[in-house]
Amino acid sequence: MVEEHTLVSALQSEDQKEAAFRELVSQYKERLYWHIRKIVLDHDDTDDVLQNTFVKVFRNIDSFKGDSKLYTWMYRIATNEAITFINKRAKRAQITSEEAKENAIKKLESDVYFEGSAIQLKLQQAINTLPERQQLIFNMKYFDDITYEELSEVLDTSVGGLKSSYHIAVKKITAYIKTDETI
Amino acid sequence: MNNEHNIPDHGFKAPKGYFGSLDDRLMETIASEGIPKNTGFSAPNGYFESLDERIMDSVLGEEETGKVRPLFDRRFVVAVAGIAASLLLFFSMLQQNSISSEGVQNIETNMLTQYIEEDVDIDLYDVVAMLETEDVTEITFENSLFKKAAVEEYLLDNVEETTLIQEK
Repeated sequence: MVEEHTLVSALQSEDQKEAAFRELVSQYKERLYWHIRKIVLDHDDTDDVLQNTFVKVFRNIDSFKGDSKLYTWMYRIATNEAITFINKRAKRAQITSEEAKENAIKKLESDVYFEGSAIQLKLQQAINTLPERQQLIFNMKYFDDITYEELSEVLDTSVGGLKSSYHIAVKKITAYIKTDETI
Repeated sequence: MNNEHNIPDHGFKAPKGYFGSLDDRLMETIASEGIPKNTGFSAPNGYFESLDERIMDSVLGEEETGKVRPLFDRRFVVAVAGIAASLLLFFSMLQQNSISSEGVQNIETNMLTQYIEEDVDIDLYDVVAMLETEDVTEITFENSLFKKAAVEEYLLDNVEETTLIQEK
């Protein structure tokens, strides 16, 4: 794996840009795919958002100053792209973005690319009850094991704030699953 | 900021090591509730193998066809403003008898908003990339955009209570 600062220098030089970008795609495609997938839920939508994300990264790499890690910068772009995608879709359908996500959750049951068990489906439903920011924090912390410091760079929020949001999210999710079990 | 090393202003105190072990205890809680660590999502067979080439195609294709004109290129702004003014004048004359001038203004705003939201593939990153420092200093915001009541309403509707507590 190429060191980050070497990769960034290559990405910002005209003659090495394309080769460096290939390396970047190869290194980060899967991580970004799964990150986006957890937000938009559908595979085809994720594919669209992922491509847009890499286009944005390529287009804006010259303005990357290295104030944050390249990885967290890309995560931030991917997150924005995924949320923008959901909002645009909701607006076109004249529904709220929460309703758009609820529709996506309902489709999971018949989605050939969702192989989750009943509890995994319930977990997605539980996550969907959280406010958008808590969803992002829970997904990145719980499934991706991203550190609070990295999360702080991605979401531009203090570490203390993230910890408290994550704990609240976990409590809400466990409460949702428990309540649902008793029905 | 309050932590276990400083005496908090409110006088409460947490046990030594409480925050350090909080994450571990939380994970134990999650495990005891049987919350799975995997999402259950899958991708089509061979998807990631062909992904690199498809991304490179769309990125390089975009680069060839999608050269972005600088947002603050003065000649471009003048040209766009001229075309917009001509169109506005044309539509105003065309619809003068049926729609009030207020109506025309509304249509213009709505059309513009809809066009920008649905048809223009540009976001904050694109705009920031095109802005120079002097452009930022030239931007002036109309007070009407940030009326106190509107800001308050926005905060109440969009900011989570917990965020306010956390950022203190």
